[in-house]
Amino acid sequence: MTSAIAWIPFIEPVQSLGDWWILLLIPLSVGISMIYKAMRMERLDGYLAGVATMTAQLVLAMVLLAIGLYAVVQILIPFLPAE
Amino acid sequence: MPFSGRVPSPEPVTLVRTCLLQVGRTIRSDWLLADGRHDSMMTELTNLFMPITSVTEFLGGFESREGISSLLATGTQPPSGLRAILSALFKGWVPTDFVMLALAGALMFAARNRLAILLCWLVPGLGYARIGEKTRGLMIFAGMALLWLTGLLIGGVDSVDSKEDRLWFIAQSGSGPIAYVVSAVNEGALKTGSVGSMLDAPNARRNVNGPRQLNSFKSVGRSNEYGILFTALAGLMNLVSMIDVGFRSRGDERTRRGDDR
Repeated sequence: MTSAIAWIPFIEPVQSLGDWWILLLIPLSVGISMIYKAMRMERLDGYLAGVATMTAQLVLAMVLLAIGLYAVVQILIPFLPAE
Repeated sequence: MPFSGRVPSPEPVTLVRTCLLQVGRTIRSDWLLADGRHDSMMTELTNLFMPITSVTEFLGGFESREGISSLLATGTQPPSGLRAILSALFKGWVPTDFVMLALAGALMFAARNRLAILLCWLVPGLGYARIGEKTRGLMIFAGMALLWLTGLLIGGVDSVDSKEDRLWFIAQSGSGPIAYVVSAVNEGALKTGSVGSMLDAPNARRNVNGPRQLNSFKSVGRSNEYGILFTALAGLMNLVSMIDVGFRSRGDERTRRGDDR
């Protein structure tokens, strides 16, 4: 608690992200989607829906990539001959 | 045997195996070098694959002048071919601080809306206002602000460092003057000890001619990684927006439709 009070935002890094660092993927995806959709959408009517959809797609793609990598590292690679 | 002119295609199994080995090497090297993990899986991989010069090791060596010096001083294989070109680039002969600015300048020669490109680099989204798309520009500015504020909140000003993180700074400087300002604050406040307190650097850093003292506010680990990632991606996205605004026509359908919104 004391360290949190002493924290100087924007100057000092966050004290500890713990196991929550992976959730930073969400604001990262939101930011990228906001910029990309602003550039690419013809009409900006459905901007927020477009941003939400792209964010969901990015997060889902990363989750699928993680599952794929997990399968390669934990399941496939152990089966390789150690020559 | 004379060369017959045909390169035999590898067996599918061999191809898959080679790909898996490459993936394994990359994962192993990245994790081992980045986090220093030595859990059982990493040990298995270490035993499985021969010592390699990984991408991480390779780029890490060229990321700073100190890095390349230490790489060469420790008797590592001297650079050749692509390595030589990269080493020439990143040994400091090319001022990487201004690579993105030069790129924006080159874009201006080819683009339709030259001033809009410059405005977009100065203030993200402002170039769109120049061609009459204020709403679009505001949305881009909001996205950039989100990425920058989140990045700095997580990693602090040490996320932007034109001296120590030269390669990352190329991407970050795509966001415009803010990258230079934050880097200057980092130099002026953190590295001089104006804020925080100066601590003795670990021996490992001193061995590569790094600074002898580090600020207690220096970001490390995940905070640093994410701070850099957010700000670098913001810079690259702004580069895309500069290209977009540069080649947009006022008269095209997309511009007219988005104009009054």
